[in-house]
Amino acid sequence: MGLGLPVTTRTVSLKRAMPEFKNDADIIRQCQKGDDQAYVALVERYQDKAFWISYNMLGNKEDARDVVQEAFVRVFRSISRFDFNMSFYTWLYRIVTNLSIDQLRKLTKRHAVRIDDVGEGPAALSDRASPSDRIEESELKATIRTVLDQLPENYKTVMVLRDIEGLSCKEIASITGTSHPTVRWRLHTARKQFKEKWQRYQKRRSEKAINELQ
Amino acid sequence: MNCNKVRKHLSLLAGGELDGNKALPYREHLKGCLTCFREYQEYLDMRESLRTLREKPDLEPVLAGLSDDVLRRLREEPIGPAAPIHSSPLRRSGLLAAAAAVLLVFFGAIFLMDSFSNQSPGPNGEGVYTGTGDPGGKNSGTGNSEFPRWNKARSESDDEAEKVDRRLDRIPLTPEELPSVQPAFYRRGF
Repeated sequence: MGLGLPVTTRTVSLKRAMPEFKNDADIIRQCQKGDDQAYVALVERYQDKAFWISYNMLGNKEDARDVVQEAFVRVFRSISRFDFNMSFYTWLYRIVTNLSIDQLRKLTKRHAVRIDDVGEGPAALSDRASPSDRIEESELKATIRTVLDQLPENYKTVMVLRDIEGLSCKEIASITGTSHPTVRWRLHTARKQFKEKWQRYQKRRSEKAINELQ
Repeated sequence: MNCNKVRKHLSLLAGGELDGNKALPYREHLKGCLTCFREYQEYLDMRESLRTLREKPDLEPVLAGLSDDVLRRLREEPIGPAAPIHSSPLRRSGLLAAAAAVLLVFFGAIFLMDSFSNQSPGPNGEGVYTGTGDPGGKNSGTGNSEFPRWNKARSESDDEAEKVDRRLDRIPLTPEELPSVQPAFYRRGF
């Protein structure tokens, strides 16, 4: 019970007999007892969503994975104090968002937001599209990320959570620790800024293309 | 409803954050206003573009072994007190604002104390500065060094006024005792 086995042995045994948990509260209670299987179940339940939030903010899969890992470690260290009246995922996503913002600041300082990585990232291409469509789609995504990166981090956060991840304004308010009207105001400002930057970016690109043709 | 008000809500309307009743007047406006409708359409297009990032392939290769990594870290790193959950950006900016306010009050207090010490009357009963003077000029170095000329003038006029007051307090008995500042006809006698 509880983090005692060597990792390799434990992983194999967990995959053999993963118990069925009813809901988050059930899993968290087991985590509080130190049950490794409950830890794994919680990670597997939320890792995808947490990863995408971080990835859409950072634009880099290694950084996003590190952020998610750190977020889960922090969550499990504090799991004994979890308030069952609160929602687990908003707590987790809040940590993911804040860690992503911190990472974003570090990246901004290093000028190392690797846009090139976006085209090769896991979200870059879909299998069904034709090659030309896939290139176009990949370019579109890269452009979106370039423009998103130009937004202030609190505006970027609400846009990622709402327009990409599809969370409700109420959930976003809970995650960002702000009020519902603040979220709506930030969304409005973020979209307005995004639209202006998008149009400016497109205009520059078309001017550049015309110049290259001439 | 005018265009300015509608444009402030177009992004929320396109994003689906306005519910049916609230959205109705805006939708009515859009039916008759081509300019606003075009902007609304731009927001819709933008939203569609952003949704392309929602299409997510399998993350198996990226997240493989994540739960093991988490468990390993929990096991290997000293458990101790839980790492503090990171403060939100809002809280961070609030703390920064509070720190700035404390610094402002601190330096403000220093500035005010300095000003009061400059304004206090000198040992010769010199007056206070009210905004004119000769800062750093040739008269510096006499008591209140920043504004000595003004203080000097003030001091002389005060002395003269006090002399006059002292004389006027007494009832003048003879023309010789009348103060020189009295009107000429008074000095000459009745």
